[in-house]
Amino acid sequence: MTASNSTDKTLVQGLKEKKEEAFRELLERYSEKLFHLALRVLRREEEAREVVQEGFLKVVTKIGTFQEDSSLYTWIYRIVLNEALMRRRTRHPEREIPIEDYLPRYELGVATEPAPDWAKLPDRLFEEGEVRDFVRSCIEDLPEDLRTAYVLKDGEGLSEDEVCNILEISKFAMKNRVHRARLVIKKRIEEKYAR
Amino acid sequence: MLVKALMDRGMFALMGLPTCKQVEEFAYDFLEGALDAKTARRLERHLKACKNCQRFMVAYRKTRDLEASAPRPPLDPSFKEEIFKFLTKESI
Repeated sequence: MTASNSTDKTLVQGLKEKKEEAFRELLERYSEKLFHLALRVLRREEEAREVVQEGFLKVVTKIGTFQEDSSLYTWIYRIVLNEALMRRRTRHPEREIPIEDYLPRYELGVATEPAPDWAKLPDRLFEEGEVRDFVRSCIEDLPEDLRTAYVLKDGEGLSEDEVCNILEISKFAMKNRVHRARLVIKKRIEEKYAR
Repeated sequence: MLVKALMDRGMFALMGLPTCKQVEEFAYDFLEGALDAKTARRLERHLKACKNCQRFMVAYRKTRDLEASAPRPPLDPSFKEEIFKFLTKESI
């Protein structure tokens, strides 16, 4: 979706002219999505709301710098994501977990340890509060680059191109980050629940 | 372990199939449906023959879906109105 899309063009023009209906349209389209994105990064509702508010103000004040041939949606997402990440960094020093310890090992191309059987883990297990909290902590403990890619791709369900555009990384880097994030989370869940 | 690894590897090589390590490396694209048809077929044949990789793929898929299924708290309806007032006040 790019600003060449006529509704985007109209919205961008309206924001540049500071029209009230453009503000309302912007909020209608993106409030909910951006709130959930900020909430996934910050895990605190109050902070997520503050970040969304600051992000929207940035969008409105910087709309003159928006490149009309790019995607309005990913531009707005990037602004709010960066706001959320900056806020998180101030209160949350990164915990460096040794991700190499959680990646699969192979000998001559064959896995060196048997894979636990997740079929034995009932789906409802993952709906329980304690397990949800543990999964969340696994995501929280990931390095920022892996965590952000995983949250956008698997949490927000964005397309590969959208994730690449928001993070301004190549498709190869994006896939690699999401893949390693999944492997680390999977391994940590197995260590706790699937032994 | 080494003997078994060699036997497994030999079996997959004889069948012209990817190794377990390659299955893991292809897992992301496999779930995205982004593999070419030939590679996807070879990977599926490996999965049929290898319980360990079957289990790996079940767990990998489930991990992909975990965060998407997390509950999403609704946004307070008054929030949009608050931001609207904030934007009109701050930006004009």
